[in-house]
Amino acid sequence: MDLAKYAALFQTESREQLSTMNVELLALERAPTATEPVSAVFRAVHTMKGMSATMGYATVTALAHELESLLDRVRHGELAVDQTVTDALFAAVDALERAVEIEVAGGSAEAESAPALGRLQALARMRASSDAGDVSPFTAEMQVPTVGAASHVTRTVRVDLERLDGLMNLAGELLIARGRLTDVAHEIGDPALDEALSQASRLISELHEEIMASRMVPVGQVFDRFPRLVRDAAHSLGKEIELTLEGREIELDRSMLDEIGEPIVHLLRNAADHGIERPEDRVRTGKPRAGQLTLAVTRERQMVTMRVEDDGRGIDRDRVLARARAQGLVDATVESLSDEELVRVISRPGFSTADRVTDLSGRGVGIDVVLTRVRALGGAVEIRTAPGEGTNVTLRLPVTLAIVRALLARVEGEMYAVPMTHVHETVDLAHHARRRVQGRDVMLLRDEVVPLLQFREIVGLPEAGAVSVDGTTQVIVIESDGRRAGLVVDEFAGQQDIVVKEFDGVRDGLALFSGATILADGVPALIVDVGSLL
Amino acid sequence: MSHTVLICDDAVFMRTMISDILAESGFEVVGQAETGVQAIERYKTLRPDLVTMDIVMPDMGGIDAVREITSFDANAKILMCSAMGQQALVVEAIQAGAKDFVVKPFQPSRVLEAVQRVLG
Repeated sequence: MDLAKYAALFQTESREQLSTMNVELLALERAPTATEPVSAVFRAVHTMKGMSATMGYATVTALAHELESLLDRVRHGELAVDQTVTDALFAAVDALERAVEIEVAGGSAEAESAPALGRLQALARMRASSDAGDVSPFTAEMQVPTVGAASHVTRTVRVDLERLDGLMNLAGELLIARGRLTDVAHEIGDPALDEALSQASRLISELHEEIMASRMVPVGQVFDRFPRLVRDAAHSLGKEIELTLEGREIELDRSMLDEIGEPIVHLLRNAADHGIERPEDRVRTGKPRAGQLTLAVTRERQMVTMRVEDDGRGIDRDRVLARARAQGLVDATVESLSDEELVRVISRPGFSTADRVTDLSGRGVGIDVVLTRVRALGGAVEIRTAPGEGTNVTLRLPVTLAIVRALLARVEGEMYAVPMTHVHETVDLAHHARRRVQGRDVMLLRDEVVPLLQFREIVGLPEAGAVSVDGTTQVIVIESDGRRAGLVVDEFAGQQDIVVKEFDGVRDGLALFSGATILADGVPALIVDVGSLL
Repeated sequence: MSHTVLICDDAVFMRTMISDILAESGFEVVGQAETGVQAIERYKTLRPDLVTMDIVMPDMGGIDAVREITSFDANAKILMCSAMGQQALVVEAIQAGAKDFVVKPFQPSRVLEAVQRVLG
């Protein structure tokens, strides 16, 4: 039998089982006498053993076998769960995870897995806990008692993500073609054609929605590994942290979820490293020993909100101010930072107040990374912090990356798209006063002074007086994170739903644009990353 | 007419592989189940000629499922699929009404032999 074709399936399913093991081991660590987590880990390990043996992956099988034996002893009350045991179990699961990747890739994981394997075998040889005499708390049977009601059954098939991406792209192209068709039909003006088109149009919309829905996955698929991550971070920092995960069943487009995982990890690590205090410091200030960290996901119409909140010391304004002065980010005369300034300073690329480089953060890769990524995804970030009470970072993200309503503008014959989420209004400069303030071009928008940005200059085109054909000057007032600016363009070209296509190289250098699209008439347009302009 | 089969295993990987082995030999895989409870439900609706049953599954294990199925259909033909080191459980499964067993890792020829024995 050709086993190679089962390798990908083995890998996918092993990852799921490993995720289950981590979740259940965390539960076991919190409640060392609980029997259900032991049974659940046992089942996951057992399943993996069967699969890896079939695939002929010797190291995965050996590790799984030792893990299973150890868990079996725990189940039968021959071994009490303490920190040594849970640490060894975690280490074994890590080794298992690496061994899966190595063996699937065709390598040998034998040497690398030897320490974890040795640790398991040593534990397995340990004597039974001394007080196993009377009634043992571990009486769990391997089979969990039958659940009376029939379990909820959903019928599913597995589809490669590339397939779904392909479908999504096709549906996107279909939307674009529909736009072009609508334009043509409008010119012809035949009622029969219009009717047929409107029917086709509705079907295309429905098809698009169905495909979008098929790409939605619960955030738990990525977020379930965070409790383990926070636990490890807390251990290495000598802190106690309880992570609460809320809304793990909320669904998000798969590609959006992949993109947002890293920023969330960053925020959690920041909270663990900088936010939450050491247990003794917490007790001294009247807080519980263990820091509370919450990751809560909620859905509001087309937006998903992710809140990372800790009850730690809050962001130290004085230290931020001192560092900001030292780095010349604020004027030397500034005495204190307002909320808004604080957020602006800490989100500067490379800003960090960490005293030393730890394992976790303080590498000068600060919250700016989070901000940049979230903005590129069409979202927004809000930070609230109170000294001694904690910090709350809230991300607002669209449910999907794919379709964005955009304002189109023409500059020197080229089309550019500005996402409507960042368009505050459009104005004609002819009706507003222009001034020069501190050497910068600004306009007066009602009572507000708004800096002007010449789009021509930004994209490196020669100055054309920024005057359009009919002698007026068109300005898009863009807005992000509470900041505004007027973007001077040649001409507005209407609004359109655009299908965002990522292009390579966006993340290095060409920070002005977050992607590209093809407009209804087949003309390509670049999508402006508003956040990077403000 | 080809024989119908219901495959019960909590791992998609295992279900896919067993399904491929049997389908290549002309069996008709009519259903799959990933827990013991599902196995019983599907058995009732599908009435397959043959069931392959994993021992360790969430919700309800394979042995309890065998007991339940044979309680309402004494002629059910169930083949246990066990991992190494589960001899005691295999014996229990046979006592519960399973007809035969194969041990993981599977070799297609072994699986087919066992299936032929069970179907008699």
